[in-house]
Amino acid sequence: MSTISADPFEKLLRDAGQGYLIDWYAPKNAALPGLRRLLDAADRRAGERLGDNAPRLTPEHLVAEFQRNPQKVQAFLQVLTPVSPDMLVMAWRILQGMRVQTLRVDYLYSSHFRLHIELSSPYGGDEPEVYESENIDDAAVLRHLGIMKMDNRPVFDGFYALNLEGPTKPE
Amino acid sequence: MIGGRDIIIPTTRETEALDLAVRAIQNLWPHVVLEDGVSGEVFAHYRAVNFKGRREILAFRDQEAAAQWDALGADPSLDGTLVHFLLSDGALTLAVDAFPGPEILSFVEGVKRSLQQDIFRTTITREAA
Repeated sequence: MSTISADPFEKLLRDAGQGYLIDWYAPKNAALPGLRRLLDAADRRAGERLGDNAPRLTPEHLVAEFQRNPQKVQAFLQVLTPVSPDMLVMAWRILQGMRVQTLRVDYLYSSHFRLHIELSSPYGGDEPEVYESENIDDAAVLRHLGIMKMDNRPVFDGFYALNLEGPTKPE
Repeated sequence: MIGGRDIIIPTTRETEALDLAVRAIQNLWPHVVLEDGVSGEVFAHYRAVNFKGRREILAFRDQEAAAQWDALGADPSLDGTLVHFLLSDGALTLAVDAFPGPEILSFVEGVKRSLQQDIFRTTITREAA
């Protein structure tokens, strides 16, 4: 028998196709608190980095944004578990419209990984935001970037959900 | 845009396709004015757009072009200043001038190629993700 959760955050995860984050977690009842902690860390990091301009990344804000832009929240939730709080902030800033100004990856097999991303505002004015990581788990953000040529020039733009399908619950 | 041309791009990711197209036009026209083609709601920029359920967006090159379109309608003097995005089941349509200039042609090609990237075409089974 299935149950319908009254928790808006759980409903959001399930509506966004991320219910497996709960169902595959062991013990299952620790999943939501763990996911909330990840979001809380990202929300705090956004505040530390961006002050008054920081986006809010609480479950409540994501639930509200899902009503306006489900495609953005879905993409964001797909990187909730693998990547660091800084990269979650970066992903959300791209979803807000920030431009990928610079992207550098330095990697040597079994030795080191370094990711450097600078975001700039398409509206001008603000200083670039720099996001760096030496944790290869953060490379997961790269597969969500939109790839484009504008006037035959290279552009990474946008942050998009992967089209995932398959079981959302353990066999 | 008298007798304009429709470029139809098949996609199963309709909302994302519209999102991508709006981001792209903002790259082309930094001062773009966005307007819902159904409700007339106007957005100052991409960030202000709530995409859920939205099916049509008009992108005017800038405020002046938007005002001219209001005043003159589809006048030849306004060629190259408007792109109309429409979602239908399984497709994003870009309505442009009948004889679009190189800037618009390049933009259309860029959107089309971007929507052909794996991220928009490939379904990944969860075990492999």
